[in-house]
Amino acid sequence: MLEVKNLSKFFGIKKVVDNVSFSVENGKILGVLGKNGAGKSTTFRMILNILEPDEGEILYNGEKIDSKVSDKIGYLPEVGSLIDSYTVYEQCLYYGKMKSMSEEEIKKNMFDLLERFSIVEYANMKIKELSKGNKQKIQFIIAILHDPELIILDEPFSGLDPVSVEYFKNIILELKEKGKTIIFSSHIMSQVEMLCEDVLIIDNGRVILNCNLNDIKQEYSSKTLDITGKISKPVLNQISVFGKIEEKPNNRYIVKLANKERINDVFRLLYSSEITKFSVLNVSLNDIFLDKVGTKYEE
Amino acid sequence: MKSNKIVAIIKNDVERSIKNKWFVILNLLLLIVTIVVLNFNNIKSMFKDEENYADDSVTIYVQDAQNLAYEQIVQAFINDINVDVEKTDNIQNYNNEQLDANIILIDVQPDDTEYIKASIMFKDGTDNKYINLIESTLNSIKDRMISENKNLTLQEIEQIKQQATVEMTVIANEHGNTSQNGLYIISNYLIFFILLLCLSKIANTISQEKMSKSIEYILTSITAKQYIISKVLSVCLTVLVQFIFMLAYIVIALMISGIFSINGNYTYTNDISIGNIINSDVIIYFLITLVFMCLTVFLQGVIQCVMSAKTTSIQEAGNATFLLITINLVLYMVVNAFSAGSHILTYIISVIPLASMYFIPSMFILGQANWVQIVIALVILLASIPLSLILAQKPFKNAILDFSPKKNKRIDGIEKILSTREYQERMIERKSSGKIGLVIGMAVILLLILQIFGGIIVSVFLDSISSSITFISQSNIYLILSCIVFVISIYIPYLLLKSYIPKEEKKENKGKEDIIKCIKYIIIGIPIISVIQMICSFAIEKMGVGVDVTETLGLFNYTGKLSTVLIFLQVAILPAIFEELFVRKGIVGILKKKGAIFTVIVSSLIFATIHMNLSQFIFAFLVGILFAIIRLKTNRMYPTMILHFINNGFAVVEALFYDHMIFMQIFTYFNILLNAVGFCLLIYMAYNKFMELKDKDSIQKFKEQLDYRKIKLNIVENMFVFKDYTFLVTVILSATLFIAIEKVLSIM
Repeated sequence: MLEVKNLSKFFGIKKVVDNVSFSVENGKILGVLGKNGAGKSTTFRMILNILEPDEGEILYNGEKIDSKVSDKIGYLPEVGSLIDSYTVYEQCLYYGKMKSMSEEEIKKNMFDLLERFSIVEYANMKIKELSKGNKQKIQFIIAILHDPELIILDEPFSGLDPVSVEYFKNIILELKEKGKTIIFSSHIMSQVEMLCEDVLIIDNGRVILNCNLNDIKQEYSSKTLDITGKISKPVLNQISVFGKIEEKPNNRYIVKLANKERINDVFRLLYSSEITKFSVLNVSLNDIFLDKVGTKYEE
Repeated sequence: MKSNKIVAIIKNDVERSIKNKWFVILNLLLLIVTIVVLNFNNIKSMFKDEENYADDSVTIYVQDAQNLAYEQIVQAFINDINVDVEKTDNIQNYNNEQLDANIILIDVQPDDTEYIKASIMFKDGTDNKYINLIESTLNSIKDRMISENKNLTLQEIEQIKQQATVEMTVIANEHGNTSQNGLYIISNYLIFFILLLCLSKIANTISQEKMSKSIEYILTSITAKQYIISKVLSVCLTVLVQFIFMLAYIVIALMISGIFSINGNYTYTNDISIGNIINSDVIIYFLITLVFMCLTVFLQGVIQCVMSAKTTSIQEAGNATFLLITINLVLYMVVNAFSAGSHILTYIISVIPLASMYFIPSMFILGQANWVQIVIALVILLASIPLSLILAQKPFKNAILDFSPKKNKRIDGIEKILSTREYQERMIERKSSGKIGLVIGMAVILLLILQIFGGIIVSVFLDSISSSITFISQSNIYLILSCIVFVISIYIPYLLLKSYIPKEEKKENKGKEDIIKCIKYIIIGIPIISVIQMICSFAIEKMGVGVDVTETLGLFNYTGKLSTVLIFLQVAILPAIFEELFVRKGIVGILKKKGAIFTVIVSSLIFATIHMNLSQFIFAFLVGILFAIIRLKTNRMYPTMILHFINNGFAVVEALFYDHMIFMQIFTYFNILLNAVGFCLLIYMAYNKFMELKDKDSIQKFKEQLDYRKIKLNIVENMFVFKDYTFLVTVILSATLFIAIEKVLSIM
């Protein structure tokens, strides 16, 4: 289990990470969401012991992350960390050695993974000859080359085509099956939605939301109603007591309730109106994100 | 496990830098060069072969009446088909011009004390190996003759000779013998070369790793300290490998030369026999040098790592290397300066890390270092390495990951301040303030330098110019040249300033009303200048520092109409035009947007500075304030130009016509009249202003203008003008100039 407690980091005068706490249980996937410059990468770097936190501590299975644990961690940096003049194999060899692997292990694991992505022909190509997406695949391969227990992926899907995203997704889910702990960041909500159970939303270095994805969806969806039909003014006024009403064209109304227990009340109020549709909305993570980060700005 | 990773990095790096096409190309080139250099004679003779075969054969003429050596020489060359040995009786017939490269003349004569005496004559360019062989043959003949005569065995003679040579090398005078000095110079060059190689390699790899961001991944596995160690070691190892390759090339080249050499059974020996130099001292010297070099290269490698990590491009990395190399050069030169005598300072410097690499070996070879000193230096050097690693760790990591190293306490609401437009604009303003400091500083430096060197050039070439131009007296030529130097020295920096004046400041006011205003300011300016003059002359008298400038300028010594005109031009007209352009247009124009008070003070300080002497400084400063105010009020050039002209012109007139009684009287009255008129106008205007201020509204208005917070902020921001390096140099330059000139003047 990875525990992050009250983590803070200053860059000069600016506090880029502000009292961030969260934990990930072994065998779970945590999606970290945030705008550009929200502090995601900095948090990762602190977990990886590249940067020292100014405040707070990070524990992995109850102990501090240092050189002893580092071999058990896989990392895909956001900025490309590949050296142009190396071939793919040389790169794997170099970084694999950094994780105390033997040459044979590196070779075997690398070819297994290259086969998974069906890019075996790249093994002896130089990094500079690869496209951005292929470089990303190589980075991903390096991140999981040494069969790590904890995998940290910073923007793993950037620059990938949909097919490769599918490959990545499958491999990540497979790793999860094997009991690996995975943390990854993204600003594309759909990718987070399809992979994670837990989400962490960071904005301006602060944790805005940290909970189970299904729970939050449940909470959000049950609070929003989509109603189509002719509703009289007095009824609308009555409904507006329970929540905010957004009028849409063609007699459509979106009702955001303050409390999900009010669904029945609204339903009862509508018995005399001509209703063609009444549904409890299924919100996407995107809406939640916009809602959370948006409201923060209104404060 | 940890050390395995370090080893992995080192192996990876060394392998990569050796299995690299550039390395191979460089080394092939080195191999060829080494072979060519060490086989130059062979190659030369090879080409001779093709051109003219007969040329290769050497004929040795021996004049040996007593048959002391002829047989032996024939014996020595018997295997060499290219060499003919002939006996001759008339060696004098060959004179120097006739001698070809393929002829060697030997004149062997018996001698009572030396047993045998020989003179060998050959043309420069003759292969040395023949000469060496002849020499050694003659030596062995001598040895045999001694052994026969004194009843000694050849081995005994050998022993005697050896003792003699050992004796020779041990004797060393205070400055070391020449061969050891040469050794020390060569080894220092070698150190320098190795250092350069190592540091530039480190700089390149570090900046490459930074650029590729691979460091991001590597630092998840090892610490920054380990990374630095592995990088420095891998570069050192690469250089070592290169060194080994070099040795291999030398051996290859020597072998080739052995194969090609005609006899095949003796190796090429240089003129300076190595055995002559090598003794126990030299070996210890090499050991000490090696130890200190290895440690120092490591230490400098660590420093280089940190510096390179801070760079953002390969080019900058090169500059960082240049910095360290410059430090090394300075150290090397300091060693050369200090090594002559033993001094307590030398002793202290010699144990400081980095310096010790140059000091200790050189002091040792010159016999000045004792073992205690060497051990102390070594211990300090050894201790400095882990210390440097610990110190280097953090800055290196921050730099290579591009993180701001400063950790400030959080200020409440700092984000809000940072995201305001005012704040960001102020930051830009600060940068532009720094640029203003640079431009003004540069202009002043340029002015001072041009003036000083112009003066030097004029005085150097004065004689030669005046000898070619006869119709003008030397003093007048001097005046003309000074005028030219003055104009050039002000106009060039003015052009620099002009290019930085904002467009909107370049415009001048126009209109009739404006002209009246300007005239008003000119009139009230005259009495104010007079008052300032009085105050200054009083102050100078009290302080006793001042020197009469007109006297030192030597204005009294000039006579003649042309001189009068020239002096008037030099003292009154040209400064009025060009100094005003430089200060009131250039500097005021640039500073204007920084606020009026700031502009007035800084511009008048610079005005005072360019007068280059202390007695004028105070006066020029005060007048500068007045002129700057007038310039800002009227926004035109000519009022201050006229005032400047009047002030300087009066001084010149007084100096030139001091003996014309009537003229001087009229002139004095005129002066008093001008002052009186100005004074009246000044009082009138002051009265008007006072009345205006009595009005309460305008007081309120005035107070509003004096927003203290804003002024304070303005001052803080404007200080960034002075935070520029060029400006600092300007201040130092002018301060030293002032002191120096003051000293010169006081002596005069």
